[in-house]
Amino acid sequence: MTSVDTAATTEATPEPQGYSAWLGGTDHKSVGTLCLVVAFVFLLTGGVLAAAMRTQLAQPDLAVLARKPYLQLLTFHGTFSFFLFLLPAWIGIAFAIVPLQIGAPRLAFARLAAFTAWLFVAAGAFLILSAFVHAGASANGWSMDNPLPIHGVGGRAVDVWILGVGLAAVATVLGSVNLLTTVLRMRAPGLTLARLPMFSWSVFVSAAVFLLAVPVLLAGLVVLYVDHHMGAHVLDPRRGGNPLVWQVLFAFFAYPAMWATVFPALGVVSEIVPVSARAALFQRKQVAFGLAGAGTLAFFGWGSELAGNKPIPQILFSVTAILILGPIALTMLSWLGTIALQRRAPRFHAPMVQSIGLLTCLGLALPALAVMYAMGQGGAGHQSQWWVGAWHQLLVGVSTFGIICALYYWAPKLWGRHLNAGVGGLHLLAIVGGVDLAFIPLLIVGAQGMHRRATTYGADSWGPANLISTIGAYLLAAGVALFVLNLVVSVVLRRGRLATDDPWEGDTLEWATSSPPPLHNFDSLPEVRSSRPVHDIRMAAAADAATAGEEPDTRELVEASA
Amino acid sequence: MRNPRRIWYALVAGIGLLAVACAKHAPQTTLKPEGPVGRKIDSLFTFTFWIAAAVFVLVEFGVVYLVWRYRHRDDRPEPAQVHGNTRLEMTWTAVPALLLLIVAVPTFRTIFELAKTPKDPIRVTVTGHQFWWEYNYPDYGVTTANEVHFPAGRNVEFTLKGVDVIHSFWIPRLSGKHDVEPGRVSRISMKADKPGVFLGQCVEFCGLSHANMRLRAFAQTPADFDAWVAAQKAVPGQPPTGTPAGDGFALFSVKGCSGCHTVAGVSTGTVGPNLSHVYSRTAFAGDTFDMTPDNLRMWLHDPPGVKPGSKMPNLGLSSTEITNLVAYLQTLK
Repeated sequence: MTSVDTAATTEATPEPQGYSAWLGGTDHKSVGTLCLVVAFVFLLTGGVLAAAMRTQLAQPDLAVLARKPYLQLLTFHGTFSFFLFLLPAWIGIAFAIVPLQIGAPRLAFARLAAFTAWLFVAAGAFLILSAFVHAGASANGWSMDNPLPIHGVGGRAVDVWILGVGLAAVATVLGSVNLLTTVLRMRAPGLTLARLPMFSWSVFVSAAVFLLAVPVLLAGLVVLYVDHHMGAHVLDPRRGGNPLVWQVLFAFFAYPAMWATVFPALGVVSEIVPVSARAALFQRKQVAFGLAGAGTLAFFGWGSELAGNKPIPQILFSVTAILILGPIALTMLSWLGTIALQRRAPRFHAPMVQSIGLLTCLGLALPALAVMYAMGQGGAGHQSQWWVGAWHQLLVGVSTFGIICALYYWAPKLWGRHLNAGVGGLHLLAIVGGVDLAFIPLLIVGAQGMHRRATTYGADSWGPANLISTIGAYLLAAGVALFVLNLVVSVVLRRGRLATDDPWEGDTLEWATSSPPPLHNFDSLPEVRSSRPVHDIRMAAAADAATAGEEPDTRELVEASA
Repeated sequence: MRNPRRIWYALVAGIGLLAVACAKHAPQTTLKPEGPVGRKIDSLFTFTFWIAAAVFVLVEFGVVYLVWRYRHRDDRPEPAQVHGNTRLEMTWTAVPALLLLIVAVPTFRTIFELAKTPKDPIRVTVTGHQFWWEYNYPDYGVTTANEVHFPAGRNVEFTLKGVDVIHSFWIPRLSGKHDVEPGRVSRISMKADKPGVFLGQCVEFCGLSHANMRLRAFAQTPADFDAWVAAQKAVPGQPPTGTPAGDGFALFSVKGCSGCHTVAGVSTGTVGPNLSHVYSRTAFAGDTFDMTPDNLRMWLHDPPGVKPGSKMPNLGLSSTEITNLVAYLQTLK
């Protein structure tokens, strides 16, 4: 075997080490870590807000939160959870992992990546600031329903909110450009697009979706700012404007962008399951095309509430929103097929156990979404609590759960420490139970006619289900808090088990370097001849060593092959 | 592995939840439709729900089975590397595609059926305001608010118009919902099988009191409906001066109520609900408070206080003025 010497192509400039690496560094691993720090701060904040909101809805006619503070928490819960948790978390993980997976020494635009991370920090600062501006925080939901002044809260806080979300949106566009370029231009020799690891491929699809969808949000934010700050009345029907302009722009961004936070989660599990089963991913090609197809379909299902009375647009929106579930289901089935086809026990290491938790949540979210979109805009699903339940099953049970799976899988690589698997089992139960208990009752009350964004409710029949949902929300919050605690204790406080270079016997290139990797990632790269280069080396060496009776570790093999 | 037992717990919890869902009466449930349009939507729901439920159960049991069947045992050698299985791959691809197709076809049909214009309908124009509903009957010359009346067994066609923010009109037991958008007129039609009272709700977030923008639909016998129309068309009498109601009548103009509210023969304001026959309704303020003298007193004392975001200002009325105004409102039957 031959290998490619990457050390020669790596820049020789010294990089800051340790915590100072975060402040001025451009190493993709510390930049990704910074994005993750921002994300987890806002995951916890958003979770606390959600728990407060669920407390108000635990029983009919409670007065825990008055209407305006409730709606302010609702706005910040949605804004934080999406723009400052899901987006920076996935972009952070992608920044940290994609160059390692494709055998690159860095991201295509290293400084732009650092700028992206700091934009997320700035966006967080703006959004927190907007809560303290004199007229009070905005209370219009994460979709900023408008016309803002008529909605009740229209002060300067809304301007600051628009700027904060705008910064997060710019960060997402820049991060996407960076990741797309990295995947297209920085791959190791022999690593064709067809051999790209599934996580990198899912990041590629998501980045493409973000690149097409997020600029539309930026355009909408400009209209919103001009309308709100300068009084342009583009959106105010009392002055001849039309609020549908913003609604359409936001929906065209939000629907594909929400799906784009799901694809990387599917990508992560598509890495973990085959490694655990010690097999290639079953139907790998179909899954890859399926993800691309889902990314395309994500641009069609956004308008199911906006179609008006005409049946043809209604059908186009509803049917594409159903069809997108096909490739997702195919991916899910391919994981089961990977296990079933081997007829052997998969290794139930911690990332695999977490992935099974994600799988059960995905099995719940897909049918719930299918029913909702099959009903069309008039059915019980849209705008009711069913909508809230189904989308949270997806965004919490899959997008967020995927981040947990990814960190169990890659924390040993990135930071050299394992997360505690025992604690993992505990919060797995809490999170799966929490997702079921918190969000299944919402489907029920949705079908019973309970509307979305309710600040309170009077009909007594919704009480019991709402109480169960609130208990589930607490359980979910406890599970997520336990996970973050595990992460802090294991990685930040360095109490986790020390990781070897290749703890899971992985297939892809990130397992061919040290844990944590050196600044330039690889001292030497193995030759890539399939989608499982590290597996290939291990097999070849195992064949050689079969007579010698001794099994060397992966990195020695890589170096020996050089 | 813990997983199989965990799934059993989840199933037990799920069954418990279903019991919760069926146990109590639910005035706004879509699961007990009372008209042909509601039934169409309900049958679509039932159909897709059972397919989805079957998929859910199969997937979860598939996970449990595979995890149990191939549970971890020590000393397993590296498995043989299996590369694909064409028959399984085709099944895996065809089954989801087929299922989605089966789900999509009735959706097609229902959307087309619901888009049809009904024959010989009662026509009602609905205007969404923050946070109340205005109804106009163009064929009868009647205007009312929050509570809509129509004969049972006859089609009703609602024409939806917006003036401020986007609302959404929903009477779950009779029909689907539709957004009420400024700048675009849309239609939704329904029919009630038999007389009854049906609750409804605004379902598009419209501001602080979105949760209190409710409505109530009265499906009546044709005779009752005709009597209601006749009563609504009547011009309310003027209460005699010197009585509390008479003083209230005077205050109605002095305090500026007439600027926003219409009372037939007295004022023509259109900002707030038409009050010509306000006391014939069972509730007020977006169907939030029952129509009682005490509730009216509470309301007039501080409207934005009891219903945040309400466009009706606190007029700073004295206790006597409130008493007189309530007495006047009680004459508007």
